[in-house]
Amino acid sequence: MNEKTQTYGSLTLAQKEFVETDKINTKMSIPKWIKFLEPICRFDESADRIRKKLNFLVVLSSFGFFIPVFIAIFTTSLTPLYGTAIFFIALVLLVKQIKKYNKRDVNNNIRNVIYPLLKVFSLDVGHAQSVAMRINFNKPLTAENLASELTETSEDRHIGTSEYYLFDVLDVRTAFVDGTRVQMSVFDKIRQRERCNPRGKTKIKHKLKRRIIISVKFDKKLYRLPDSNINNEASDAIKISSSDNWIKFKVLIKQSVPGKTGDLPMDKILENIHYFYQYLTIKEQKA
Amino acid sequence: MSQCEGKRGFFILYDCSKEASKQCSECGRSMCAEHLSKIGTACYECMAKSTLSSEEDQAHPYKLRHKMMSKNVNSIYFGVSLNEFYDMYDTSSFDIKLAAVENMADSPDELFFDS
Repeated sequence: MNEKTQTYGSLTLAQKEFVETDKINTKMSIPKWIKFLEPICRFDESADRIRKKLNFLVVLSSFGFFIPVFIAIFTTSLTPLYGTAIFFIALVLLVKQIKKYNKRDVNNNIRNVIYPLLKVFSLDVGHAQSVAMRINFNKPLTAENLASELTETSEDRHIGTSEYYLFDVLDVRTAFVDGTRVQMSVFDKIRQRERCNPRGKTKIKHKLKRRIIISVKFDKKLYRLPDSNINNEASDAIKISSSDNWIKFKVLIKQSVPGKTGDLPMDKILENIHYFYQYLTIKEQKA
Repeated sequence: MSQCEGKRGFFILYDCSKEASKQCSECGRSMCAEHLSKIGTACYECMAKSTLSSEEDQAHPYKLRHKMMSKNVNSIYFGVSLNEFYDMYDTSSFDIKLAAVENMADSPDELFFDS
């Protein structure tokens, strides 16, 4: 993305709603999606830069808060404490600003994966063809999303609990000019593990387990699956099947990262779709 | 004006149906506005082959395409005139105009996905 700054105020109402909620569920043509997401990506990039600078200023102010106190002690004068008051006010204002930016933080997958992916798809998708997309990167660890819970004990002592939260974060569907239908679905499972050590200290850790399912259907009017490739699965993760009108491929990509968030593997997604084309031959067309 | 000599598509290559407006300063091919850089005078396909980085968003998919097609074997091309510019991709060429393939659904939404 280029360095042009985008302010929150210059976004449309729909864009602001997406920034605030991290959710959208609609279908549009690719040029419209790009027009919708580009300012949001630019805003997120400039907001991330500003947030880094604000965090640095908070660290500086925290040090600055204590220096006048030491000076006051050594000089036995109260005047340096004015500096402490100034740094305290600066700290409060900075923290307020950071909270405001955090509330408007857009998941980096929008800027780093989804927007570039739409640009890639624009080469294969007609201008009038719509792309249906359901995005929900809002993943609160609440009872509503709790899928299961496990309690661990040892010798009558409670060791900890593991809670598993499930989220349906992304669904993208479109069709290419060669009639190929593509669907990508992403499901996130976050494990929150709470551990109690014998001294009673509790530690909480998170782990993200992601499942990306890519389904691609090739039109039998154009493509043929040679008999030798039917049921010939390149790996356990790829399934191939055939119906009257379609040749279907399905692949499951797994990701496991510490924390609650992680970048989608764009290269792997594109490589898999590209790879499917290798299985096919082209059907002769009537003149 | 002649037809654009650039190729559309990411997973496959196919002819661009738009009219050419200018020539690329690097390869000399006639290009439409969609294939030409908005900043310089080269086409995105030449920028993709070059090692220079580009600030333009639109160059990025072409760079990815170049990376993928240079790595993979048996990339597919639908069209009638594959220029020697694409010799470095191991492309199988099919004399088929996608628009002419009959009864291929233009993806009306109700046919999107049945399963």
